[in-house]
Amino acid sequence: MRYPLRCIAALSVAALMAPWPVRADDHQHGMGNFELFLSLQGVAHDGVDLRPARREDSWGIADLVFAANRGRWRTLGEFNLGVDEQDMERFQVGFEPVPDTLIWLGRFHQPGSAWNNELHHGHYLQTAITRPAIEAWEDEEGLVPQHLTGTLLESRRPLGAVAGLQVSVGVGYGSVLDSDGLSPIDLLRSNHGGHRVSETARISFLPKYLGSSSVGLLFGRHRTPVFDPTIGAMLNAQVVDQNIAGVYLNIDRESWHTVGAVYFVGVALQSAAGERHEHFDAGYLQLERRFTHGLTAFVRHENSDNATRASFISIHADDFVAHGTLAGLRWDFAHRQALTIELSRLTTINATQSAERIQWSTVVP
Amino acid sequence: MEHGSAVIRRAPILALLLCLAGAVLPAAARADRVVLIVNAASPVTMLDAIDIKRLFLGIPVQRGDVTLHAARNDSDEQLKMVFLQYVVSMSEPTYQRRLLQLTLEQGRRMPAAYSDNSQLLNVVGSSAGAVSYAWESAALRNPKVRILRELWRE
Repeated sequence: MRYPLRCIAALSVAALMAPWPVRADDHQHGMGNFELFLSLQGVAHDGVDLRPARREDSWGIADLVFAANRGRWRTLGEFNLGVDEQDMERFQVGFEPVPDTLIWLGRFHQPGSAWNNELHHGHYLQTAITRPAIEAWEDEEGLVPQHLTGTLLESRRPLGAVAGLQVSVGVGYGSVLDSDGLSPIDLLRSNHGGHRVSETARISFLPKYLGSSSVGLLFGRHRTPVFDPTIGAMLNAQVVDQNIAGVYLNIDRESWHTVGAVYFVGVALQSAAGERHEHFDAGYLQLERRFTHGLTAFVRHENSDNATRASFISIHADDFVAHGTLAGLRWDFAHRQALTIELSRLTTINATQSAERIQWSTVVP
Repeated sequence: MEHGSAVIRRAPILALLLCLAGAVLPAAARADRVVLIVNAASPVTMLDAIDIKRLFLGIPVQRGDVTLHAARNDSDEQLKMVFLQYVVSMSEPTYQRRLLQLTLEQGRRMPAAYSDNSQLLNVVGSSAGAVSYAWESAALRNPKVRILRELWRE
């Protein structure tokens, strides 16, 4: 089947699965849910744009999230439609054997990411326009495989009277490193094969069992075969192993929101001649303050250690942000509609660059 | 001008009459309550605050063979305020954001919202698993719904 036809087929499946509850009044007996996240953005850089064509710099993005529930069964999908890329980002079938414990099969976002596991692809939920470099998607020169195809277990249990403990474990096929960068299993196109199993996990403490705040630990182990001969020769490796440990916080109060994470990444470059090891750390902290009239101010600082000395970064992702700060203002001017401006000054391994971005984001219905 | 002066002159008399009426009329007629309602045939006899919050975050609650699901009553501003303050304990933007997050994370279905009170009562009256809230005076007029507990008193 040709690719555009596959897209249409995928969208048709999505449409069939959800009964289009455009108005809440109409869907009391429906079993599905359908949310369309739309965003339009513009970006201006000083000098030459050294960063790759990132999805967040695409002028328009539509992200369709569809879900269908029947009894204890769940189906969840996310289709991302951008100017430069169209992809079925997630497609999961789940079973809830006991309340608040879900077993998913399919392609999912790995739970070892503090940012992506909360915000996924919808820009409207993300206060800042851009995401931290260490959380970048695979096709944006991301360093860590973010999409796995396999099994995901998510369980939330009460801890005392009001708190909770959440455990998420994902095991599945990760990415290969080819001429496009990290390439996870594609649900709509043909695949290289040769993907290897990744294991990821997150353990979170929830101050309120039903709240959105959490702090926790992140783990990941990824084995990535190198298929691109040029990158393979430059890295002098056939397989890149990554062992990741991290800590994160996501504290949501009425006026304040704080999200941050630090990742410690060990990289083993494996070749027939042996194995070389390198490591780097990367993290970020984003503070958001909500004011009246739908205004939210935000500031984020990203930093890293040893990134400039890691050959995996300099060869595979030389536009990785070593450090930098951004700030911005978001205005929720109407129901589920926001305008955001963001000013950033980021230093990659090769250069320092300033950028100004503006974005309109919404979610319908 | 003449009309305005007459109203000002009669104000103390009107105030006295209102006080007398307040003392004579039964309490229920003076102050309404916001109550949690279920279908009259629902097996539910009690729901605690955590279960109510779960329902209004789109997380189903099982009672016997019946899967409970929530319906929001957006028929007036005071009901909305009571719901946000006393049921989910969140501001409207935070509540909407949490609903979207749960949809993105787990595919949870958002609770239906009704701007017409009689339509909401009809939905609760026709669905065994429906849970909602309404003014007590309105709920008492519909025999297909049952009051489970008080959420807020005027």
